[in-house]
Amino acid sequence: MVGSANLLPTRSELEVLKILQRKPAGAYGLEIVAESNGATKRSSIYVLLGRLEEKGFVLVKKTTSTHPGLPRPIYIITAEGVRAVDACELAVVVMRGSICGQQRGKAPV
Amino acid sequence: MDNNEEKRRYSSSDRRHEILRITPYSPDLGKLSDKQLKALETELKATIIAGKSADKFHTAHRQLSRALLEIVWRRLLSEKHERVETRRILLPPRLFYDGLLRRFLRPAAYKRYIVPHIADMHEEYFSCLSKNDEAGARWAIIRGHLYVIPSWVWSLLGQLLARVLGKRI
Repeated sequence: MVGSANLLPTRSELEVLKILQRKPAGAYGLEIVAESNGATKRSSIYVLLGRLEEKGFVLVKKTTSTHPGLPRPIYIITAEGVRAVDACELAVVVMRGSICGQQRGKAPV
Repeated sequence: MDNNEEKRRYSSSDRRHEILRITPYSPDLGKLSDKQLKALETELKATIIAGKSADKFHTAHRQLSRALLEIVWRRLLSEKHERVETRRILLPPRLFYDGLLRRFLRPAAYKRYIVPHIADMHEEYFSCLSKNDEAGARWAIIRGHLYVIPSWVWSLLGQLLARVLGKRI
């Protein structure tokens, strides 16, 4: 069970969500690492995705593999995940606006 | 034995057993399909029996069987080598400490944090093998282990910490 305070995505989680938002069909863990340009590492990607799954922002889809090994899971962003990304981006815009407004207000003084 | 009778028996549906009876040292001959046997026989018949009269059929038949045995034996040996090579390639690498992981981790944690790493390792391993890059395949296994061990240690520490903090709180 995740508390409401913990539902806020962290910075690295937000990066992962943004990458997944660009890929509606879903992406593998290593694809996300490759696209993040060093923002997320291979060793921590599944911890992040696990946390996102726990929060309900990401859905894990099982696939079939062409080789006899284990199939790689595909991670797909959920509607909640999209809403979380939008909310975070909106919050950043509002915060920037308020900071700029404060600076403008202070400037003549 | 009459030549006609021999011919009739040779062309019967039980031809595989007939060949096996004549060539007792080819136990693997029985594994070949009727189509494969027929193709081999036709090929050999063209080279051995061609031009010979019907009364020489028995001798030709024995020659045919001996030549057939040699060809089949060589083919089976080469197939065996191929099969061994294929089996070696097709086995996915496994973690030798998988039992330990399963013992100390919760099934959900194992599935969430360890299985994707193993799946990535398998993917890299087989993609390297498809490119005939054996060194790369070995490195994929080593790298897979290097990524799994820290995840395991951290999740174990996390579990321990959660237990300790849970008791304190």
